[in-house]
Amino acid sequence: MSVCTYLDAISQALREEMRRDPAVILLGEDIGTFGGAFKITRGFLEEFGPERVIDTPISESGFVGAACAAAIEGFRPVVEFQFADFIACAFDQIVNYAAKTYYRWGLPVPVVFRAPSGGGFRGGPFHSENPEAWFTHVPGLKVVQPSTPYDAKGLLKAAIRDNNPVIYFEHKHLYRRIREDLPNEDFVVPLGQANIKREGSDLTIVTYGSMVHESLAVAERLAKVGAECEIVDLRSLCPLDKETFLASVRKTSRALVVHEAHLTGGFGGEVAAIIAEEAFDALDAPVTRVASLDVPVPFSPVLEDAVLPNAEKIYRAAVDVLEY
Amino acid sequence: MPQMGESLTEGTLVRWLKHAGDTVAIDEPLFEISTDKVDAEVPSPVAGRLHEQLVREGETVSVGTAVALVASQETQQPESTSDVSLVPVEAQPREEPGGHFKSSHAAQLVSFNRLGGLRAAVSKVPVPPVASAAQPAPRSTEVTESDPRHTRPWTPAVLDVARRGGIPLDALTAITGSGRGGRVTKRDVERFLRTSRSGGEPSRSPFAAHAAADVPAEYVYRPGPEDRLEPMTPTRRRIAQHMAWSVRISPHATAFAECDMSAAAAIVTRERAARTSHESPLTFTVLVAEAVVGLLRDFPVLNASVVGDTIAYKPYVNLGIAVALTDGDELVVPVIRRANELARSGLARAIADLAARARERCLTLDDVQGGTFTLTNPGVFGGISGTPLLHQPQVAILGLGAVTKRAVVIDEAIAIRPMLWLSLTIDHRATDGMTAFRFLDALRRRLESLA
Repeated sequence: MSVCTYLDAISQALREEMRRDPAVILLGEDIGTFGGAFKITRGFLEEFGPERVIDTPISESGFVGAACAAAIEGFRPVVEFQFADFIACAFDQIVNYAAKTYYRWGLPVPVVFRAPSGGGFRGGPFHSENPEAWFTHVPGLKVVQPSTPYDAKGLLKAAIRDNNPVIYFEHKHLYRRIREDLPNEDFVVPLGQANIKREGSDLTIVTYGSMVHESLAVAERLAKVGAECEIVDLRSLCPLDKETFLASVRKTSRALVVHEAHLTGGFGGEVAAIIAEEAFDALDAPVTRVASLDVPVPFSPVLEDAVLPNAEKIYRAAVDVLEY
Repeated sequence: MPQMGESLTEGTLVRWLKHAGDTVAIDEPLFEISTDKVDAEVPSPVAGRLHEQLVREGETVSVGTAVALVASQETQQPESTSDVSLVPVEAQPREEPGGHFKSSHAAQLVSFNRLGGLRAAVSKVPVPPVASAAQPAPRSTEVTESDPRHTRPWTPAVLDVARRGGIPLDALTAITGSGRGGRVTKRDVERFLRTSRSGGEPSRSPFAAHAAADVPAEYVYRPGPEDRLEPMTPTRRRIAQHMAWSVRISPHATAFAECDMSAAAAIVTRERAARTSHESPLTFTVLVAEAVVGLLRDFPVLNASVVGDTIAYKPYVNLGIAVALTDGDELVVPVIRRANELARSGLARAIADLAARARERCLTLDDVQGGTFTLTNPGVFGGISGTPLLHQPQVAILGLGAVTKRAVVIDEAIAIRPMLWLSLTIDHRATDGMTAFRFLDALRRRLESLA
């Protein structure tokens, strides 16, 4: 066992997979000599050499296309975007090429896109977005978002070993804030399995990513006033483990869906719709969502705090649902 | 006129801040009021143009009185008279289901809008402004909606728990809700189910659920620690359900008669001596069955069923014979179909066959369905008589007591005779005691004159 930050866990997963499988290569801006914008690949160039740790030009569409081609040729590329916001530059390559190549030509594209996402650290409108919902809408892509070092490491390993393109959203604000003891032996967290972080009988909070921690704090606070929350960490959005949260809602009859991404068109709407369709008879209160306001994430600390969801907002919404 | 405090019933309009023709925005102050407790500006709950002031400055009116008409209009649509409607400005809905608004009057207005009162009026009651200018404020029924099912809709979970627990909707309205505004929650229904029955899992049997929901808690026994609890067997449960329904469906009345079985006993003795091994035994039950089947031709109302306001008479007799099974906790009623077409020997054979198959538990579903009249025999357990319950949907059941020798008065002498008590329970909806006693008397005469 060793104590690991969320950031260390990602780094470990990459290093271990590169040592295990020579087909695993890395591409991205400043990942080699500089060690990555967040130093996740520090020392990788020295250990694995410039043929496997490739510094790319500032051309997301170009290096995503190169990674897809390498994947078709038998490599297992892991692409780092400096910020998830920049993934839009490679949108066409991801949604029209990586997602559809296996469907159209029977060619697997085992590529992982690492997208450092999320706000809360005064990054402003171009470095704080949570664009996971864009990709959950595209058949052929898998989308994951870990909330803990254990899941960060296990999901990244599973993503690298998966034969489909996987978008791996890693939350920047969790990088150095969350620590956990990790086992020394090799492990994976299978894609498509939600995790019940806390059991409870009164309210189900379906969430993922950074909001798992805010929701857990809310659960502690509510427990003091006698309401027990069940926290479901989705971990994977595609494939989605709906059975876990449906079973939970059938037990508690009340559901709150929480994510940091914007409200409108966010993945929470999908979760709410599934609950309404498949657990309608169990509902004793409206399925309620907590998410970022529908505005760009502001640079101003005061405004950013007002826009992003947090424990206080989740608490108020939870009380609203519990009291309904 | 808004309610500015729970105890206030009226308020004085001190000053108008908007006048006819002025445009007003939502939450823009419309007028000032003064009450016993507070003086305040009242904001408009709707946007539009102030059409008419219905209350003069200085006038005191009761809470809920319309004070102004505001013509609201959909700004996105081209202006036309049909798009414009008049809304009486009331700051407080008259029916507020359990809501307590403790904050400012602005909060009251917002809540009012959320209830759909004014909004509903705006969209559903278009009134041309010119035509109604001289008329009193239109009162929208939406605003005063007081049906609890309208203001307190049940959630799917509440309906689901209620349905599975067998609680009718009417009973739901009686449950005290712990949710917002008195809303009944799933927890409330579950608590109601727990306290309204004697514990354990809610029964799936519709009747058990029905009874549990209907029976006042004071009549429901709560088992104590010394009680031994044992669930009913499926058969017991079925009988329980059947009997409970029977007394709910029909007013029961039982008539008694006494019958001298000397003639019948003579025949039974004679036949027993002459019987060959492949013939079925002749018993009192066979003789009574034969007599009953014959008599029902003359008493068709005892071989019938009640269907609402109608009585259905049956041209055939399917005679049910109640058989207690050996372990004592079970009772089946196999049926002799078209018993009216069988002679004495045929009845004897049918009764022997059904009784044997019942005890061997070899009856088919067909054997126990479709009876039109039932014989039951409490006498086999030594009883003098009983008051049988109807086997629904039949309207009569005849109970036979034990045939015992008793001293009876015949003319001026006392004689020892084998006596049988007959008890006939009837559905008092179908017929009356007179018919029952005439039937019993005719049966007695028939049995006493057997030869």
